[in-house]
Amino acid sequence: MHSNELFSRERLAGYDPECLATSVALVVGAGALGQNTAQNLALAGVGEIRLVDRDLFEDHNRTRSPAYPLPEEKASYGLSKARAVAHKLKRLMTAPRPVMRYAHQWIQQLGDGAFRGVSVVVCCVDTPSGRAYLADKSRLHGIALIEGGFNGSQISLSCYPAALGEEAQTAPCWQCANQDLVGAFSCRFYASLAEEAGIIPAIQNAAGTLAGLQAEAAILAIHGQPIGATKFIAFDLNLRTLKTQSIRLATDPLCPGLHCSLAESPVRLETSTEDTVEHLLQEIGDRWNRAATLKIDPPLIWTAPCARCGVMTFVRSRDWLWMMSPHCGACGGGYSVVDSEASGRSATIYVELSLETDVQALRSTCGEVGLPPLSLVEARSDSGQSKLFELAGTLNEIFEQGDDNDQWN
Amino acid sequence: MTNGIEVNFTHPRNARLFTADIDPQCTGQRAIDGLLAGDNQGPFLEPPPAGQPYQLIVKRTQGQIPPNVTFAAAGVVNGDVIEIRQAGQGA
Repeated sequence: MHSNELFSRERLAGYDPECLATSVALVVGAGALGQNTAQNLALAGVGEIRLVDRDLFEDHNRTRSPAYPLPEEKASYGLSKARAVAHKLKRLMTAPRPVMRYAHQWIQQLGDGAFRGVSVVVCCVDTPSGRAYLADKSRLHGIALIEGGFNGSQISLSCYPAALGEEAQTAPCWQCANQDLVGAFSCRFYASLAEEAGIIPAIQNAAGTLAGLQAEAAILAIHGQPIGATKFIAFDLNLRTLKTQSIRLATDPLCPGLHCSLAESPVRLETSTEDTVEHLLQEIGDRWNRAATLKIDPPLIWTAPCARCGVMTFVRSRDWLWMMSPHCGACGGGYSVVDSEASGRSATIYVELSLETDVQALRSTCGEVGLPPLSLVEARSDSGQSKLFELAGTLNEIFEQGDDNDQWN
Repeated sequence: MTNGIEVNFTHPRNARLFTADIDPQCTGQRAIDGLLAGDNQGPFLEPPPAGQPYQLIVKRTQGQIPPNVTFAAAGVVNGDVIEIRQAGQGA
């Protein structure tokens, strides 16, 4: 006798709908792969999906975009991939109380708060720097990472289950085998390099196939189960030759990636992203009973001389973000981080901030120096001790939310 | 007499093989550098596209040889076939 219960088929397949309903999938990248994978997770009953992408839809995306906005939807959602995909997929979510959050931002801009409460990180970005960032953050927060990519008809999946404590130090990470971060700063720069190198973007059949594998691996990770015979595994499939390959991932002893997880919960602060850096340092000093220096990683470019007009301009941006478009606001010329021949001056770059730092930096808000809500900050004392603190904030300050799901309730 | 191990590298996109006598203390990255340099017949591998490094896989064990791990540590033995892989990067 057939059951008409919503998740009857999924139960037979071994899914636990109650487990999925309380899970959170952070899907980074809403291109061909991200949309297809997020769609599978939405249909499977994942309770909360967080979708992050800074890109805009272009016409050619339609051939591999199940959530491409219809003409009338473009008026409501615009061309933001994250916004449009979130609104369209929200309607497909089958969880009892579905939550779809999205951010039209670079994942790096969202900070650690984006990872709070996440069950699995699904990596659907196309840049090495994005993959490296997600690998580091997943390892730090002890979250499983499911990464995928294409080269034409060849699809690749790699799975890194949640690792904590000693295993976080010894288990392989994405960077163990990918230490060349060319194009680390710019999607467009990397896209042009990839095009020059003849890397073929996804077609829908590849995206749909890889999305099935990626979503299944993510669902297994949510259930605490590995995919494949070994925990840390990669899998390649060529859609046209049907050649497959499974790879046991290995750890590189000199890996530049992060190989540790949070040892203790951070101290939650009252300082918000709207408060000044000075306020943040004072609260940490009060809570910790010692003067603190904040580690700023990635570095903060404070000022830089324009290589064309020589003007020293405020940048106030983390280096990776600034390098996306490093142009002078006065003349449009390129900046120089090193000494400028024209001005004889060099950029001011902060890798740490303390109450001894320049007063203009101290009077900037935390947000202005790249500390969004729920950011983790590592403070160090003069004696070399370190402690983690977390800025105040809520997920609603980081993410927006997709359409309501009332039609099913 | 050599202390090396003979291994066969397979090209990632064609059927070519490259047989080499490798020092067991050779690392994955040094081996890739050697394949990029090639022999008197030219390079075996072309320079990898940006951000898409070559990876070495021991066919017998399906185990990876990371850039800074030696062939000995990766368990490579005489006669092993080493597959060269490039993971897909598009999304």
